[in-house]
Amino acid sequence: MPTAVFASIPNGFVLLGFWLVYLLPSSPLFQRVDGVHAVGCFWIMSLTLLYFCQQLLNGLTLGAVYALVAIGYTMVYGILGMINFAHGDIYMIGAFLGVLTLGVLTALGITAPWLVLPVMLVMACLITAGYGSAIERLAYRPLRGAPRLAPLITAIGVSIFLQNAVQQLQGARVQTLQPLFTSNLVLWQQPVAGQPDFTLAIGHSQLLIWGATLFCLACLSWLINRSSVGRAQRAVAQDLKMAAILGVPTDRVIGTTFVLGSALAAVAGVLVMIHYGVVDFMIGFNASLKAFAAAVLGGIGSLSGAVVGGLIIGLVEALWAGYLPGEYKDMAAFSLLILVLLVRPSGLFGRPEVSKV
Amino acid sequence: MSLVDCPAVQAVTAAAPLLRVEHLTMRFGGLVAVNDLSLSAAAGQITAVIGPNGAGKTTLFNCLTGFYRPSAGQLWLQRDGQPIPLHRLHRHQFAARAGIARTFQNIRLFGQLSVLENVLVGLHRPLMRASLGCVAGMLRLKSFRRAYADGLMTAVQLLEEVDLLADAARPAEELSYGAQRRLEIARALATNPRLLCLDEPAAGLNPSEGKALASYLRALPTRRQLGILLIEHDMGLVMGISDQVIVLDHGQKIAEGTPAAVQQNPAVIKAYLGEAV
Amino acid sequence: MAMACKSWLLRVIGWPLLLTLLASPFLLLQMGANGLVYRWYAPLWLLAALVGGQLLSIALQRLHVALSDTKLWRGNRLRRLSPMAKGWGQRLGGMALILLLLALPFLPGVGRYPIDLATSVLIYVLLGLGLTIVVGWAGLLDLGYVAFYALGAYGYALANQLWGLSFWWGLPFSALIAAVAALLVGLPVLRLRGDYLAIVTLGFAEMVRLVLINWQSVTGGPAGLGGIARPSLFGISFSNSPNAGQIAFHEWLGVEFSTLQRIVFLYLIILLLVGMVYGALRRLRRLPLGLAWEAVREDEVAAVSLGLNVTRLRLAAYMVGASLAGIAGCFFAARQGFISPESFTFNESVLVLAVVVLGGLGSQAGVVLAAMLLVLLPELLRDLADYRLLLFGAAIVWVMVKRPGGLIRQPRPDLLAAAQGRVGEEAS
Repeated sequence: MPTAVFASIPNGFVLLGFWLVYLLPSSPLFQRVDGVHAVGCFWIMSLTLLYFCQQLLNGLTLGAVYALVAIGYTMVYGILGMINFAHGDIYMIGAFLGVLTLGVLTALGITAPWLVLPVMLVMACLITAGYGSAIERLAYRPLRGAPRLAPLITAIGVSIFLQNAVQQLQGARVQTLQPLFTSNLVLWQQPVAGQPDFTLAIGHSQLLIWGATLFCLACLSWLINRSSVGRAQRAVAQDLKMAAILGVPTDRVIGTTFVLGSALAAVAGVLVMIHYGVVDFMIGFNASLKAFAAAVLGGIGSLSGAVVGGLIIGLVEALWAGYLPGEYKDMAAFSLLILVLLVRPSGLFGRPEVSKV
Repeated sequence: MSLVDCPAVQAVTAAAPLLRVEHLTMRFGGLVAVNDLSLSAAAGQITAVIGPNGAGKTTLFNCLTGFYRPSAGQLWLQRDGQPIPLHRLHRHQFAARAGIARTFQNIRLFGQLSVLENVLVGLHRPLMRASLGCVAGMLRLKSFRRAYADGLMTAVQLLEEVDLLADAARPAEELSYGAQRRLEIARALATNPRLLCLDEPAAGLNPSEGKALASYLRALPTRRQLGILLIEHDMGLVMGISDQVIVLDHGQKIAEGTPAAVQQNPAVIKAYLGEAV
Repeated sequence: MAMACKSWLLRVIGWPLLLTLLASPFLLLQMGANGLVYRWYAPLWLLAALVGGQLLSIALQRLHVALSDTKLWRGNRLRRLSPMAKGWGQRLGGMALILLLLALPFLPGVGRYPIDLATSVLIYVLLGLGLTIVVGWAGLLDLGYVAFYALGAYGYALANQLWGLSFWWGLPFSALIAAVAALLVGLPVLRLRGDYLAIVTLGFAEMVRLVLINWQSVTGGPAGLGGIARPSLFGISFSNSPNAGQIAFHEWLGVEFSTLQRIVFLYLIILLLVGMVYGALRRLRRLPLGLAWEAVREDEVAAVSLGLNVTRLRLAAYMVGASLAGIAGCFFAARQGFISPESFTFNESVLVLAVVVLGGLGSQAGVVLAAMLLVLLPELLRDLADYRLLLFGAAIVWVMVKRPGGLIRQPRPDLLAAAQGRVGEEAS
């Protein structure tokens, strides 16, 4: 009997357990120093592990942002079956609106973060939502029912247009900003011989990103699962024609989807701007790629998939940046995308597609 | 009157049916669309599959034509005295290896291509072989020119049969609904199939078009030595032209036989025909 | 009447106002290096431009309606609707263009600049013809087309430096490299939905660019590669001091050396390449392969049901398109003698895509016309050069929404008319 029990445990778990119990404590990741720093902690973290943790935190931050952008991709794809390339640029526009709002507020002498932040978020969300809606009305709606390729090409056209419009109007210069939040939450401090201490810390802006992301996700999941708008949205995603026949105002639902996705992207843009303090007109391009990779990784069309995918892409990218040649860190998301397409094209949470004949 | 009465055809039918479906099951998640279905269709005959909506007819078709991979069961097609296991073929091999062609419930033509070109796509394999990928075609070798002219002739004949030759140069999307249905059949025939699967060919046709279609289909099996598998809701058409009728309900076969026999079958009447006929 | 009035108002006032409102944060404020810059006037300009544009387009529409009522115009339109008619005007225009292109370097008073410009146009025609196979015929969106262009260029440059590969061998070599790369990228993606290809190619191009910039030891990094061999004509070199074993063109001909000779030679090479590719594609389009590509674009499911191997066909289209980009890249490298990652940015992909879309997806003649337009216009109107990409983006959207046929709609080849003679000939 015992053999049967063991055989039923997947090999990976056995190996992982072995690694945790026997190998990890004796590995260079942990050093046994007789309890100097850690009270009630038997093992003292080595610098390697601290560095790893720092990368994890960075990855989660990045991942939260990708998740917010990926949701917009996945929602639009779920309903219209098109890749909305302009979504990355919507995110960029959100970030720029944040910059401009911040500029105006500073000029007015308002600098208190608790006031500046909400104003920035609200302004960015509102105007960006307007952008999303207008783009849908002018560029995508006339092409409903056109061959698949047409809206795809239009989307790339819109993306190019927005990118270059912002470049012309705001300059190609990288915008750098005074950080709004400078304080950190120190988790761990470790002295290093002959060097400043290594601190494992979470920036307040990082906490803000996580908090805001969680809040947005909670709101969205309520909206999708509980509200009538969400119900209509799910219906349209399942079968647009049928929903229309049953009296769902599909055009309005699609418009709402764009508004929602754009608002989330704007939140992501503002948060990124606050955290990293640099914005330029090209950030939408990379964000597009990565958020799309996240959406595909999670299973395109699936909201929770987009979130998980975003987190994974963020983590992989941060770890890549930490351990592999940093110049190639933008390749992380792409490599993962190709891998997913090869191994599991329907993504982690997606269902394999059944072609309707 | 019916082909079934002809002794020669009966002998062939008894020897080896063109299509054998054995214990076919198709599940979508928890839904069982087709459940342990076995049936056969004979060459030179029209076999109709009828049943209420959701009985699993289109699923059966999609399994037969490679769009779904069956969850369980086997599909065999008799070709040149050899049984071909359909359940092991790849999607695009159904037309080439097994000689199965189909039409679609909601017409699927190549809209921007001309009517003639639509039929030529059906002739893709022989033409492609003649053009050696595209080497012979690019060089306009004589062998290719001849094969291409033959292909065009075939296509023209097919169009003539379905009365579309006059529209040969028009984009397919401009045709009327009935003409599009006919073009789809011509295109399927261009692949020179052994088994032709028609998914509601009369849907949306007006009565006179339906009548013309019926007489065209009736003559098709003998002229082209193929079997026809037909899904249709128009009972008049089904009963008028079929040699054999198979009735499905809830993914299972509930009756089988000549149109007359099926019409008398109490199970069928109960499930479906009761109110319809 | 009230409805019409309302929609008219919406069109002329409503939309422009809304768009201006949306754009006004970016117009009013600019985040400069030293704080905010205010531009109070800018939104008004935009509003005026949008209203004016709408009025103009309405006027043009009215004019069009009025004109199409007259008899002459109706006759014209009927002819355009008939699939058989390929306008004589188009054919004559094509002929004149070919003659002009052939004669261009020998026309009196034509200096270096026009020939250089024409060479650039022809490179984009070649790229556009390649992309039109992928996008226009096979219906796959390739946003990283420039990657294959770059691979062709770097492939030739490196092979030339390492093994001394000559330009003429470089052409097939570059085509091969690009095709193999397309195979590797396309294989995992193309068996899935076609539209994933768009984003994967975007990523692929970005990856190629990253490698070109960062793999210093091989690609020379941002500084690029120089000293790439120029084309020679059967051992006749067009440089002032030819390599050993080569004859200099000016000595061979006994004229004075001039760089113009090389420029004209390069121009003739690309003209030849484009001419050959154009002819080959015209033929290819009528072959079973070209027809199958279009069938796959029109309806994948129906194509499969007829026994077409959709994955393989798409892969073939993708590879053929890529190899044309490779050839263009090889020529580009040989023409410049120097290449760097700067020449292969996303903007190049955008330009080529704009050429294909504006030309009318799949129309070869359209590609030629659009390439001329898109390369020459920014060159002639230097003030517009900064807004080039902005306008391309807008043009792509406008064409797709308002005029999906592009500049020139290619008529379907009339197979039957062409065949009738041939069938009779074969039968007799």
